[in-house]
Amino acid sequence: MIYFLMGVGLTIIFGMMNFVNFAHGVFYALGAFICYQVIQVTGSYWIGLILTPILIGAVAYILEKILITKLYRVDHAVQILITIGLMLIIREGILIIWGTVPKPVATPSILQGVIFLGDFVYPKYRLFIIAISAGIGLGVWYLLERTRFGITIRAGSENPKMVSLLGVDTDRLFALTFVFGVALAGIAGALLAPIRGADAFSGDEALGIAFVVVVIGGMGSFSGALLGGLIVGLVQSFTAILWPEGTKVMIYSVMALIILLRPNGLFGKA
Amino acid sequence: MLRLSDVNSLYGKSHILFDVSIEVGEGEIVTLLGRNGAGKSTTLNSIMGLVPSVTGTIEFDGQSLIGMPTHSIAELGICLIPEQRDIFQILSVEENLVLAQRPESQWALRDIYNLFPRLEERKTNGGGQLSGGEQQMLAIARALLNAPKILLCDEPSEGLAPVIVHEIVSTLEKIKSTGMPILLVEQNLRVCERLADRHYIFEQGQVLHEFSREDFFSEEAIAAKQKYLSV
Repeated sequence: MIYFLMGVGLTIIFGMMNFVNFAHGVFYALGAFICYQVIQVTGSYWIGLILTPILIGAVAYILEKILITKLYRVDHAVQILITIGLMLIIREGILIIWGTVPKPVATPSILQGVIFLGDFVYPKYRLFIIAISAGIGLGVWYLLERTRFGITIRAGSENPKMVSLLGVDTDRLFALTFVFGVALAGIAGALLAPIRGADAFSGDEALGIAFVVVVIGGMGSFSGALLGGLIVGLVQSFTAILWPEGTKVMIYSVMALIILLRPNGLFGKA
Repeated sequence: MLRLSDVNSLYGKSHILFDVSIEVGEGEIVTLLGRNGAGKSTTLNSIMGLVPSVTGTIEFDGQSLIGMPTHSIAELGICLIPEQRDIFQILSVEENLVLAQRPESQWALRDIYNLFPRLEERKTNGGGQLSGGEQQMLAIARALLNAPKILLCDEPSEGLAPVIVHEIVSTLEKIKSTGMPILLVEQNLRVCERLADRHYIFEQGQVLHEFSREDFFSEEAIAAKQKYLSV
């Protein structure tokens, strides 16, 4: 499920704004560190979980205003180069502030331990992640498919000129969409922090997986991101049991297989 | 209420409009006539802030529009129905309408479906599945829900079968009867004669003639139509 959260933020930004964001993974890492820092200050994981998307959204908003907004009309190659640069800057920033050693984040006490589901033993915290990701997924789906804001975002992805002719400020719309996608990466980082800790280099892996999720599901497709996330999650879990060294190989092999069969991804538009 | 005077428009280095001065009064339908490339669409795009470089005066209810972003111009109540109709293909018909809907509009979704029963039948269809005539109806419907004070309509009859053109024209007449001013770019002379109160004839980015509804059949007007409109 967590892979879905990583992928959906990327697919919203790419699919809706046609903007390739290679800094997506580092926002995931930054989310984990912000969560860690808030917990250090307040002592509460819950405050950390709630504040992380807000703070990371604020960072994204500032970056959008000073940098990203100038990149919508340039070539994808330029977007990739500049967002990789942005990624390196943020990562070095993290290393300067928090150091090179990953920071552990404690699981909140209420979610420690395991739950017995018949014969299955499952950590409570992982169940919590599944539940909250499902909730966020449902919320994002509702926002995109059933609200006027979602209609406007989708319309903006197709024809921004016509959207502005109907009186919508497309600069603001794109800024909000970008902030929203990045905030989702931040939440993913905060949710995974108790399992993986806050690690400046975790963003690279997250970015890779997010792209796999998006490529499997199809660029710009919300349902695709959901299905892609589930497939990556399942492949990862099964190979972790059967062939632990081969999880990454398997994930990318599955992606290659799906591209061979369906070049636009499972739900991709032509 | 809408007034352009000495407007010059440039796309990069190509100078498209030369000292264009036109006016649309309350409740009036005004047409812009001329061959392809004469500058009619550029005039509409200049009003909407879609042309990068515009000089001169463009005023709506006394407010200057030059340099204003497109969405602010639209919010003042100036609504362009573009030549390509620009229906959102990935949205359903109803979503196209909901997107445009503003509470200040004197039309509600219900009124729109009464005016265009065809759109109600197809409201769950995707915008890309509509015929040309249906797309034009949807484009007009969408504009009406956007609370316009004036409509700018770019070649509504283009590419449509005569029976559909007839339907579009009677719709525009109904809209006119509510007092809505319309600035219409149109190639179809009979449509213009039926709808308009005044006509401007464009040639190579300039306004050469202005005729009232009555003058449009004078000898001078017939000569001008011969010279600048016949192919």
